[in-house]
Amino acid sequence: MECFCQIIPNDVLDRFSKDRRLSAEERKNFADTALVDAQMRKLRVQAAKLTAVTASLGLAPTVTPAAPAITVADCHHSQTLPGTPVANPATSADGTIKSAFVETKAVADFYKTVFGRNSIDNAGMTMSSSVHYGVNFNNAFWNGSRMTYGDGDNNIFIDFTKSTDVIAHELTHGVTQHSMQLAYTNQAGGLNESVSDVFGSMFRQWRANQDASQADWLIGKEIMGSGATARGFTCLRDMASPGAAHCLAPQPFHFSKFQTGMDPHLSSGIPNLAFYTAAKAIGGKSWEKTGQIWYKALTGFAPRPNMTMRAFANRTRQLATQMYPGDAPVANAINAGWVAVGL
Amino acid sequence: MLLWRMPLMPAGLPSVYSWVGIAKADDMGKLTIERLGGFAGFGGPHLKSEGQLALADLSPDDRAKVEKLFEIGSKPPVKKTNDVFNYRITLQNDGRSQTVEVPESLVPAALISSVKDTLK
Repeated sequence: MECFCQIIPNDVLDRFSKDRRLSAEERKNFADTALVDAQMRKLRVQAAKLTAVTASLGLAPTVTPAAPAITVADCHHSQTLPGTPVANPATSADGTIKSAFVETKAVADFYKTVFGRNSIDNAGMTMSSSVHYGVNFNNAFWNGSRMTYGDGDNNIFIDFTKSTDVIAHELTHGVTQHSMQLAYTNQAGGLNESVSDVFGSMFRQWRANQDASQADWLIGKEIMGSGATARGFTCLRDMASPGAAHCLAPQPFHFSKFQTGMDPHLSSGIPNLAFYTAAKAIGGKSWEKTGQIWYKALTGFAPRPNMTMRAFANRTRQLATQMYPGDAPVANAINAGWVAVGL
Repeated sequence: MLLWRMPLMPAGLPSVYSWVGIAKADDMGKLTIERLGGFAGFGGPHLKSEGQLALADLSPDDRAKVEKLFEIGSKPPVKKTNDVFNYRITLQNDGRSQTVEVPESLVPAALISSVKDTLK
């Protein structure tokens, strides 16, 4: 059984595993969860140490595969993960399965080609996806080890694999887990979500070979259902205009509006707009300079789970100067991006 | 420590919903469930997902699980996971109201299936 076990305090899991008022199966599930949780914590710690060491040495582990394996499993509308493994997802007649495979492979290529990163953990980790999760399930998520996609309810949303930025967004949560290890609450949570939107949007632009001016900067454009589009909603979020009326999930976009406890999907609008503003000012392809700075800020340092937005902003300012020393407009654009959102 | 205890109640309570402070006799043992977050950020101005249930309509096992959810909710902070749904569950009981927010993996299926995604 896979679970989202890292979110429950271990003492609570342990207590439930011994609670006679729960069924034997439930007690076993809690015990299993506690066991997996403990191992996952160890795994994350070790992965982070490995990432930090290899990054500092400029080396990769000797057993690292050249490219990650890509797997897809079919949940057949159940909510049991991982689902049934698909033998040949690349040639599947099921469009969702094929899309999950093709776009996940493309995200791997994107990270390798653009950032020199080998998969989620930079050590060739297998990239696993589960599709057809649940019934009318309006979500996609990263559960700590795999991407999972619902088919939508065909009213508000359709198949979540249809937006390439959604696939890169979920995979980037894995990259964050194996690098900066951002928490999922408060300012770090907003950064966590924003980083996934930033790399999701960059991936979509990379697939379309668009520069910053050609890109629409929308998140979730292709998963909008007929009920949503009929109401005038053209996307989930808009990095260029986070509070716009055409966003199904409009966001605040100035740091003065940030509130402790705010949902990360709201507060991510602040760094999203900073990235957009900087990338637009720098010009060219967003991944060529702005993306490189963001990637280095995310992966080039020791884990910092509770990083604030201001600290992240200052890190990108420093990196802009260090990485592009003879290119003052880059540093100016990065600074202007953050100033525009009050940071 | 369990925060509350509910005796078994007959099914078929009225579905009228009242907020804290104006609870009535027919509010006893009512659960209001809100789905939050996810990739789309449910709970915002346009995306809602809500449902209501009577505690009496739950199986004894599910009722015990709901009790546990309130116990977890008393131990903040409950860590959240990337894009996984969370549920805000409010219990109205005997004129009082308590709310917890917990991840989907701990919410009984009966509560999850009670919510309906809507556009506002």
